[in-house]
Amino acid sequence: MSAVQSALATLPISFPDPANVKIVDGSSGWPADVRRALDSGATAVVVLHPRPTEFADLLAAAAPVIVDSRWASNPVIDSAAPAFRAAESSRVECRVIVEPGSDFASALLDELMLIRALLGPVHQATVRYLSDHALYAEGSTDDGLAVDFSVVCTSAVPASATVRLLTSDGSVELTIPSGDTAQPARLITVGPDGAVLAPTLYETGHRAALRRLHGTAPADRLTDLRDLYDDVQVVLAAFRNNPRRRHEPDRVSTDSIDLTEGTQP
Amino acid sequence: MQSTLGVGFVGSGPVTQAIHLPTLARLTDDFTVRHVNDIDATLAGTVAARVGAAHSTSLAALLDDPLVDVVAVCSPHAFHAEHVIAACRAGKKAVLCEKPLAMSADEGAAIAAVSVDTGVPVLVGAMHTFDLGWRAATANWGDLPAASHTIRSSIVLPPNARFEDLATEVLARPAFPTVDVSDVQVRANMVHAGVMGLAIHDLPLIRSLLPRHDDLRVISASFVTPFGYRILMVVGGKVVELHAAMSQTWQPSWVLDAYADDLVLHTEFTPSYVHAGSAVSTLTTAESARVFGPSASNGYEAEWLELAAIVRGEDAPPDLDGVVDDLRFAVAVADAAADAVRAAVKAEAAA
Repeated sequence: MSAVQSALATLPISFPDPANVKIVDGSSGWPADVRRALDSGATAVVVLHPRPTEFADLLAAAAPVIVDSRWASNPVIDSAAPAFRAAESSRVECRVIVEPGSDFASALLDELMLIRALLGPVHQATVRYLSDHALYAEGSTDDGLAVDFSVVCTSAVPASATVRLLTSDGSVELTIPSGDTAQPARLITVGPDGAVLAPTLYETGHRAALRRLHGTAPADRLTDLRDLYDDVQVVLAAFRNNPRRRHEPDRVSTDSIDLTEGTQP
Repeated sequence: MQSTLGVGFVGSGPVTQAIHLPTLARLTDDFTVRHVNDIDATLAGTVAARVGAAHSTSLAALLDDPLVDVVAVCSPHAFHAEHVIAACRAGKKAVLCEKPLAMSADEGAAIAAVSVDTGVPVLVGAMHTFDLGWRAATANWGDLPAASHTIRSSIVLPPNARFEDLATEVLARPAFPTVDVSDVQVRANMVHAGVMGLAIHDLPLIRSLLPRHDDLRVISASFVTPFGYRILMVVGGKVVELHAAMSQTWQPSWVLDAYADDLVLHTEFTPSYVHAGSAVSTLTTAESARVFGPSASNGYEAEWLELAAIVRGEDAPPDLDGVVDDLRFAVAVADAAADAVRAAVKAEAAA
């Protein structure tokens, strides 16, 4: 939360009255907090790292609601998406490192939002493996691109997301750092003539999300929520269909997924 | 008596030409190539002439050559067991067999029995297991074998020729077979071949991180075009991802990662065929990172030097039980992955 507030302070011209922007932590119960913010007259709401939960009643919100996603909000997305979409492949890897004890459903949601931003939505995901330490899932985009998702827990290295797409003669690889600082993402495109590192952008995802909020046209003000809603449905379905995939000696936990909160679609 | 160990090669294809001959050219204090054998007489003769060695088309001729102390088995995989056993029976001082040691656990056990019976040490030329950058990491990784929970091997490679041609001037490169990958059996076979030909480099390393492997279960496996695989499996209580893709890219990437909650091992290997020093391993905790390598000596040199030390009695012979267990693990992974490819198609059809 404070990170978004700090980012808001770096956009004094865009947001001369920052008090009008309500920032909602995406932990359990966030839809109710968003509703309260809207009811209290907020001119805009930023949902920070939302966990998967039902929130269909918010899709008719009267004010802009922007999702500050852990990876998809990084400013590199604007240059990375064209690079990924221009590359021809049948498979893409999306790997994230998170702290031990992290919520896997949220991590998968963050990955879905990242792939959506880069390549398009994934409408179905299948959890192949889930333990206390890792998650592996598979899905595909509308174009038939297979997506291999993984979430691995460790505190030894900083959290990060890596998306790699291998082509017939090269690759596109994006690594996004944790977002705690303005450390830039690295986008490297490899082709027959060599490798190109895209210009680095020392801006946090929080600030990029706020810039997007400022520049969002009225017609697009709920696009984030609609996309989030669709991705949440994919996560919830993936975990419902595979609620207790047990692999000794690990204990599978889906306790963190709230399958009851909010309005069922 | 020779001052160096005489080496005889069974098979004189690109592995012999681009890997072992350039390596032995740097190890002339220890080795002299004495004999090159191949079913292609012209190829055997031409390669042999490069190093001033004798040549032949029959295994018996090579084994009868008194100047051959050490036999390097670089024949097609299917012949490894037969050729290793024959070399042991011939009473040579040692055998270096290119990976895989054989194509079945039974063959591996037979090789081990013959090695024990004859006293001829057998090394498997799995260069990553000898790599100084890897070995330094293993010596410093503490409880990583017990604590690691997730392992990932990813191999991205250009066609072999890209590296072979920079290591030597290759003669008679075998053509990559044209296959119909719309046939599930072909895809299953390709995944099997990928494990035994590519994943085989790192499976012994992965096994060293596992408390056991008799509980192996492949969750999913698929063929990656134009050649490669992606295999997800659970073994020894850990999840292991194996990935490989060969394409026309110029940029190789060969990494092995092992994750524990508080420690991560990341090893970057050089591609096969190149002579560019050792791997670089990094052991990272939240507080610091320790880097091992690169060393100027690569895994190919290390395996040959270890073989020389064994023959001289300076090092103990390899642990054959471990070598055979490496093979048993690799074959189990290959078989289970191929089965998973076939099963996935059946499941799709049933759905």
